[in-house]
Amino acid sequence: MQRSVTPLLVSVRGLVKRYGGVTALDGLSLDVAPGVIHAVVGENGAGKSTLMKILAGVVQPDAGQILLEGRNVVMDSPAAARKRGVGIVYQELSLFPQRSVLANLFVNREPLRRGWVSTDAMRDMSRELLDRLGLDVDVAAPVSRLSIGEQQLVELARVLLERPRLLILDEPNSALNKRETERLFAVLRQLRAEGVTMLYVSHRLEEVFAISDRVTVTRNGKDVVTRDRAGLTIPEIIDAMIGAHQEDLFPPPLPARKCDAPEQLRVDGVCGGELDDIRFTARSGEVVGLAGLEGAGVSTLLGILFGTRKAQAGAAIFPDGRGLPRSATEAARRGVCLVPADRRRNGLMLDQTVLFNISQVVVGALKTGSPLFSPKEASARAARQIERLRIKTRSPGSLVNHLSGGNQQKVVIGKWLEIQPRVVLLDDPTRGVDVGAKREIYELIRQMSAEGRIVLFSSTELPELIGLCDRILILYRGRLAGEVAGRSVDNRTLLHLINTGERPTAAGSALQ
Amino acid sequence: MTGAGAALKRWETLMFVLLVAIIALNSLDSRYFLSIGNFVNLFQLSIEKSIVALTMTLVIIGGEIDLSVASVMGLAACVAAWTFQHGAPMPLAVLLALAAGIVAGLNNAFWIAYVGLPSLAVTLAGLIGYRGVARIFLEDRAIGGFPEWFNQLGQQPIIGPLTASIVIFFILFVFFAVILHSSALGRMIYAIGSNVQAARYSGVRVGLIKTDLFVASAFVAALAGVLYAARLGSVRGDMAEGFELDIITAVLLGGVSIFGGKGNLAGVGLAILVILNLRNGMGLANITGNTQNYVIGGLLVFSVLAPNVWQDVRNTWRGREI
Repeated sequence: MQRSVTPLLVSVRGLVKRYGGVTALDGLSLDVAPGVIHAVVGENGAGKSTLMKILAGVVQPDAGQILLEGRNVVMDSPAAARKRGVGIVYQELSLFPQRSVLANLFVNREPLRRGWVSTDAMRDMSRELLDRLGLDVDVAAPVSRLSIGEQQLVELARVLLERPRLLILDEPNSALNKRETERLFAVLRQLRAEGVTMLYVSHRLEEVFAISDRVTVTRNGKDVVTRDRAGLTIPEIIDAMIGAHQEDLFPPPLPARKCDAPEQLRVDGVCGGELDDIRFTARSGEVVGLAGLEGAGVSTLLGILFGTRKAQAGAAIFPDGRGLPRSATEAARRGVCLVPADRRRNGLMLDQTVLFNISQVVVGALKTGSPLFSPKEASARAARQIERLRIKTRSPGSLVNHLSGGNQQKVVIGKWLEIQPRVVLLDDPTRGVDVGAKREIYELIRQMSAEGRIVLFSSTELPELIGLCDRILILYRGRLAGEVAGRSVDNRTLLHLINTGERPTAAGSALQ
Repeated sequence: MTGAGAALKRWETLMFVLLVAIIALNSLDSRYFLSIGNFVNLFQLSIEKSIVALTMTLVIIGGEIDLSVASVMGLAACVAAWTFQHGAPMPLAVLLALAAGIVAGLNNAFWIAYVGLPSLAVTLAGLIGYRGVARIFLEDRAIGGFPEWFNQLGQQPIIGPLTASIVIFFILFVFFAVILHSSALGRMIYAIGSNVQAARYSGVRVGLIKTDLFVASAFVAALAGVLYAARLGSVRGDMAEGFELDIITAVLLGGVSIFGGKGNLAGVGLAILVILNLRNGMGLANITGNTQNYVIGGLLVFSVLAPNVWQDVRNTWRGREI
């Protein structure tokens, strides 16, 4: 009641944003009262990041309006947003690693004394803030020498030096350890006491509960629930995040299968990067899901199994009876393939043709016997995969860059199908892919499983995992937090495991 | 629309038209121009650079650069001359020179492919270092007096009017064209130049292929250095100094992208002919070397700009449509 009379700091009305065929925001509205920490939560792809980017002026909405203290504003550039008092701390660090802390803090607005850029002035201006943030580092040292947590605080300090009225934090603690997170939260509470309004985006629900005053849950680009934190529970939030999914989009769960095939893939105590002692096995024809937040270690694990990353400890036995591949070339030759998460960077040669990309693995990795490249064979391969995967392209000679995301992903899958892989590693293969292509990728996964291939499938979309996988392994902060059977787990339990690393205590009935 | 491909095709067409125009203009200017003798002379004058441009094409398509080629040419020539002067028979001296090229190439490849340093820096160090070694061998002397057969290698026609160097150029042209356009290795070179990360994730042995590239580059440079010594009949420490820039110019003018992954050997062949005929024609028309450089420089800027400008214009236009 009280809130309705308080003038709103920010009010967002009916924001719409489409990227190609994908709707990121679908009429989202949000009211933020001054002086509160307002959390925005939602699954991946629910539109949180897009909302933040629009408020920061990085992305322009297709429709809808933004009101700042009741006045309609246009944030057509990051500079315009900054001028109106919106500061944003991004999830990925945007610092200049080679430059000093001071240089980073004052980038593009270096203070002058007698016409010269003055580091003394910088020190004077930043000292008090850095003390308050508890950032006790050598400000003349390059940022790259700081820990990730300290870098995150430098980033926050840089934004705070602009004295924003609205501070947007996009998963600010994803790189922080527990102590650093507590320190960050103490700073945020202090800022709130000073009247700074904050929008706080996070996946980690306990932390959202620890820090925020009010919570908005987004789903499919809409705001579905906005309530005071005191009136919410974690299960309620999870329910709102999941909603009534369009179940028909996702394949129905697999019937229980007899797993009498021998265990063909055994991972034994693998450590490396954030991973800590990962152990599991998989059978021929099994689809094993891998779930975890960004940074939980799913991509690292897949990279180690593919040979692009080194394991620091542990071993594995592959279907051919040998251990971890030492390089991607070795992996390809032994029938292990990876569809990487970042397909534009790691999966494709964008300015080459579909044909070029599809024939790449066979030509580049396998021992073909002849040193000559056969254009005829390459055309046959391209034609086969274009037909089998229904890749929508004008011709095999079209550049991959001109295809849609879904068709690009099919090219990546197609180039690997050409080597008849025995172990298929899929790192979030449906990210940025339209609905139709998603369904086709699901069918492909089913098919690969029916052909007896081992499929390890990571995804950020839970219904996909539940619908496609025989079993789902959950990684939390680098360790294996649990294993559930795909057909017997519900969204709620899975989401709880992914976000907290623990099974829900009350409603454990869905588990075996 | 295959925008980039079309633009490249256009570039080669443009080069061809330019070449025909230059030849036509030149033959109007001087009736000696169209004689076979003039063409052979023309080609012979910078045949060593043309040979090295072939491997440079592969290196640049692979997304790398080799600035050390001219110094390797000098080094190889100096190794051959020095060992000859110290009593080695000439064939052995030539073999040692080629071996020196391979060693230089392996050294470049080690730092680039296995340590992961940028080729620009590594081969710049090579440019300075190999030249330094060459000068240590010869100090300020010039060594000559090679056997007759060696000198003839560089001067005497062996097939019709063609010298050994020119024949070697054609053989290597075909060889590298087959590698680049019809072999698995060639596909991998394009793959690495397009997106080295994606190439690695497709199982391409990136380190091995980069090693191949830099060893081939230095070996061919050493061969060119020996041929250069044979043509001049004497060797000095500063031999072939500055050639790398002419070589890279020819490659870029041939439509090869400095960012890698695009271009072909035919374009580079055309570019070599354009540069030769342009310089020769301007020379016949009494245009000074400085002005010639100015024209070549302008052409180079245009060659790099043209595809990009075309792309920008298209993008702007598309942006407007949306």
